[in-house]
Amino acid sequence: MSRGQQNQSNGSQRSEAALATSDEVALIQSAQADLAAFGPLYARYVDRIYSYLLTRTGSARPEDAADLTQQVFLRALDALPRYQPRAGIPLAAWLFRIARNVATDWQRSQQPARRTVPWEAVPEQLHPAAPETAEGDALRRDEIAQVHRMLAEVDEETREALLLRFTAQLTLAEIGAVLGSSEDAARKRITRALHALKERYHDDAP
Amino acid sequence: MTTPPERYADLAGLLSDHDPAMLRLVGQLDEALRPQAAPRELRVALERLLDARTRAALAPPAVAPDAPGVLSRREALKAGAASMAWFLMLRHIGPEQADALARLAGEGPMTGTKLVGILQTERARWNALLAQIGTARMEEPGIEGEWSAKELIAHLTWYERAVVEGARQVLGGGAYVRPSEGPHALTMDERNARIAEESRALPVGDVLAEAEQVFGQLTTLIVACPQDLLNDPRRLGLPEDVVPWMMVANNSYGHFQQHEPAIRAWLERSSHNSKPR
Repeated sequence: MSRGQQNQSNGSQRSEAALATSDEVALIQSAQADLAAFGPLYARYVDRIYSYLLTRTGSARPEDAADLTQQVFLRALDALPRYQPRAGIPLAAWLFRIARNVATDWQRSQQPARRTVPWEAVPEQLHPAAPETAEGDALRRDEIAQVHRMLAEVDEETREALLLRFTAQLTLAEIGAVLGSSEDAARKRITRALHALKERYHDDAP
Repeated sequence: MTTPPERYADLAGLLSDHDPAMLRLVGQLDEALRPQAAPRELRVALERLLDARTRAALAPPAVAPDAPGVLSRREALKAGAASMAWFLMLRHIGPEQADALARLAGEGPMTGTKLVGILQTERARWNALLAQIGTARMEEPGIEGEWSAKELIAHLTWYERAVVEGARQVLGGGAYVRPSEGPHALTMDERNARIAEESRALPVGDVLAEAEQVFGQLTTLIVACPQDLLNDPRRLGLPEDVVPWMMVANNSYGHFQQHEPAIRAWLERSSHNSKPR
């Protein structure tokens, strides 16, 4: 990707983000006036919240992630009247901040043995095999398993940042808002994490 | 992956063609960590939850508005055996009902999502049965003894509301305080007669709206309830055979089922009476 392409791409992402934000502000204001209008907002985020909680909690039982997802939206509904769309925290960051708190509360409530996220158990549960060739499927499973092994070895903060980027699909600014840091700090954290993983990935590659 | 997806454009500084290892890594992370679709059951439960919340927001509050939304384990444990009094005043659950309910839970503990799903399915069946009566006939006596459908609905709502109020008090950290007056202070027969009597003056629409509102509060509460509190009687200081979620189910749809035969018999009698001779 050339620098010109990068600039163009960044500009395009910013304008899309601005559009999404403007669209969301209208949706949020509608939902604050009438809870029934919250539907499109929850539909926009439910997959990402569920997947984040499933991976973040590392629970072997998807029902736990489903219960926690409901708790996130319950808390969001309770807090919605107080949420200020223009106060600097995007809705995505606000929701994932709630999700992060719900996941942390849940992990604290579990037995000590379950506090450690069993990453090795996650890939198959998260990504059932796509209908492709058996060989290609096996190869992809191996590669995904390799990524999860590497993730199991990084510290919690790094893993959290990667989850917020790749599972929650938040922008760097939103990750900063969730973690209580700046966009620049979030960029540095992700960059460090990717470089560290790349070294491991390179070492582990067949 | 040679070209990163657009959503990684903000990592463009990292993803250059000169670093294929980084490109490959981001591709693998994208594949391994990307979100999957939430289960359909979860989407349905959330839509119903939102619907119940919307209706509850429109209706006047029937319980304390400052009751906690999400219940902490510590607060629940503080309540301890005080909750027993609340559970024991509710409809008792027999061994056969307990077996039937245990089959519903399937393998593993009952979860809030599963229990709400069961309650909502049974509620839909119940509402379909009420629809056969029709609101125009809901004040006709004789469905259950002298009771009309309206009085019967008010009766069922009272017990569901008792679950909601008791749970909110107990799980909110305070001891359950049984009201010293009103239907709570009476024997069961006296209480049921009082509830029916008080509902007689209410319009059918109000009784139906309150039933929906209380049911919405019940499902909201269940979703917010920690899973172990639904399953473990010891957490609430209860006897081992008094499983909390079963008591909730028994005072919700289990109670509907108890009165269902009377409604069906009444509908049958009505249809015979209305047939031309």
